[in-house]
Amino acid sequence: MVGALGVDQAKLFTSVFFAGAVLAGLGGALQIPREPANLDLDLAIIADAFVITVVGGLGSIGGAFLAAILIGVAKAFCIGIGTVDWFGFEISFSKLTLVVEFLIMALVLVVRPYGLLGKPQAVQRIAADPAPPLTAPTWKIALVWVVILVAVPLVADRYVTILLTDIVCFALFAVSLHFIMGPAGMVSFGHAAYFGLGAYAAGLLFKQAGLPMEAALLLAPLCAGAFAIVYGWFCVRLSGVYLAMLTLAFAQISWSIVFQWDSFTGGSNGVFGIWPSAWLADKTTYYYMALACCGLGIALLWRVLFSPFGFTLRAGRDSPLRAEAIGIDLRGVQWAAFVLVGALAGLAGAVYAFSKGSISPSAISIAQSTDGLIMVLLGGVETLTGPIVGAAIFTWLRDEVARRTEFWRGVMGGVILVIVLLFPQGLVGGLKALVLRWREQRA
Amino acid sequence: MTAVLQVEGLHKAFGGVQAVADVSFAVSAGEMLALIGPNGAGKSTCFNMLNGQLAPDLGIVRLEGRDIVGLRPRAIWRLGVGRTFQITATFASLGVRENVQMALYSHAGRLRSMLQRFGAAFRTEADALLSQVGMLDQAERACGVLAYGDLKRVELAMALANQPRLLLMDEPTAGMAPKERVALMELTAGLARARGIAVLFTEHDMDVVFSQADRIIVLDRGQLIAGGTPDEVRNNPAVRAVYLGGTH
Repeated sequence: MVGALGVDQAKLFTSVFFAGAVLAGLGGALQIPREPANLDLDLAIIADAFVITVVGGLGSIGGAFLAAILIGVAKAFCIGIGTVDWFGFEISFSKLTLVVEFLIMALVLVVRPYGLLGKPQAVQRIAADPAPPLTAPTWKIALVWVVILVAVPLVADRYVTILLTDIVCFALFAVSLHFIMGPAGMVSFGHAAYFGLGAYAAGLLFKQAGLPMEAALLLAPLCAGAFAIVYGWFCVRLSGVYLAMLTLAFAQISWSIVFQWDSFTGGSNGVFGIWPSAWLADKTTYYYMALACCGLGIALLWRVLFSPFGFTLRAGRDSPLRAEAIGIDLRGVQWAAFVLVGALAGLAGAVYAFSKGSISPSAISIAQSTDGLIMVLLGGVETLTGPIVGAAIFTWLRDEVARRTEFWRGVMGGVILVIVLLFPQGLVGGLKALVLRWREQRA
Repeated sequence: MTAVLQVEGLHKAFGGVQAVADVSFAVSAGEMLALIGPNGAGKSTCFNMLNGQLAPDLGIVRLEGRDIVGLRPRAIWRLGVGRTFQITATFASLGVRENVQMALYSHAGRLRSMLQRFGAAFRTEADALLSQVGMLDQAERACGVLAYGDLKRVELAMALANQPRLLLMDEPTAGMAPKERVALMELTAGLARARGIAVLFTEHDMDVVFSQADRIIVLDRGQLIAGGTPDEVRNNPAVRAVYLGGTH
């Protein structure tokens, strides 16, 4: 529409982007006396920025000012109070700054779902091509893969088994992310939150609560699911890019709490010595356990996708308006989906934690969330098996490249860029298209 | 005849603009009531207050005697109100039959199941609805690839899935070819009369309105200025002035 009025959108957006970047840069430069320039500055500020835009109301500059002042003052207040002795408990308010930010956001969103000065989001009619229908993988193909995966440790060495253990964990992580961002249509930029929280829950239940490994492994997904209940309640109230922002903010808040809470979570060092029970100590046995847990998790998610619940999610993604008009409580359904994928991502994290013997805050980091997104997009978001292929290739590639060169991040980025440029629909999506074209040519 | 939908003294203002003022009417079972009026007359506002998308400032909306003001759209649907949209809203990535099945599953309260496979139940019911609207031959196709007129039919089938007492159709034939328009509304009228469904629809195409509606009410600048049979409305001087004889 704007284009029809003779506005050059490319120029407009570029200049808006330019102005935004200038302002952000100015803000960064002005805060130098507060905190010297460092590599972590971006992640620290981005969660704050997202929380403030959401609290203030999306699209409202006045609201953003108001929210920034509110949260800034609340944080300063917490630091000012310092450590207080309440009823025999020592509470360090200066460490609660992140929690306070979260609580303010929670309160504001409960009272005013669109932020302090925000307006309700207009119902968007999606003009883009509809997602293609999903096809369920057949039992035969699934069985073949299970047989192959079971057989691999019999012929391969220890290194391959350990790599495969990593791959099955990340496969479940990627499939759970795909579930929420593909069929459910809710893009999560902070999916590592549930992976990491599951991993930490497993580690802490094992170390701090002294539970046996098996119990910790079973309870960890429930803990991650419990966090997903809280986070999801807020997230399903938003949609599109704002939803993605909020998921990122939650992930960052989780990361910060884990990072800051030295006495409980081990801070930046993480939790050590979380090894599986004796009967699982062998790497091959543990691999089979991981394969069983993650395989069942993936099977469950796929099963749900083709259930009435899964169809409801897809329907809600296609047309929220029609979903409401046929009596569907879309938010409730999306919330339940959030909790389901949160719990299963938590299971992936817990299995991963016990395979490594330790867990560090990097498991919750934004980098981990981005890895998940890359896995899904690499394999193809419109296909079911794409995320698994993406997870396998990404994990294997990272391992290979990291062993060969110091600049593995740069090389990884380059390789992924090439793949994405060659296969814009992802590897599996691209292959499917190729097969289809080949068949059409032969017919 | 008893009124299925009864609207009394509906008011809605946006800022200082009175979009709908003191609108009252009723629709009976099996009756086709057309709500017409020039652009900006308040038809859509009026509609959205009936289906729960907008809350009226004042007024009563009764569905079979029950006040439905303040209920969410999904709750109103559960009370037996089917809807079609001005711009079709279907589930594009699902098949035609699956779209109708969604509505049937929802009506039966069976959408919560996470482990059953979707699609086995309500197949015959869905096919019966699709054959009524003439879409059975395309049941396997995805909604995303359908022609616009066909989408309108799918919407009608979905709207009929909960055995509604009332159908709300906002511009049901907008974007369709002239021939298809009358056909779709004839189909609707036939179904409505056979099942005793009350139908309230807005429409720009006067051929459709005057050939299919039992009664017509005319909205202008938020107020009802006329109402009656097609003949009465056609000959009403006030309607001619603001609408048919048109200053625009």
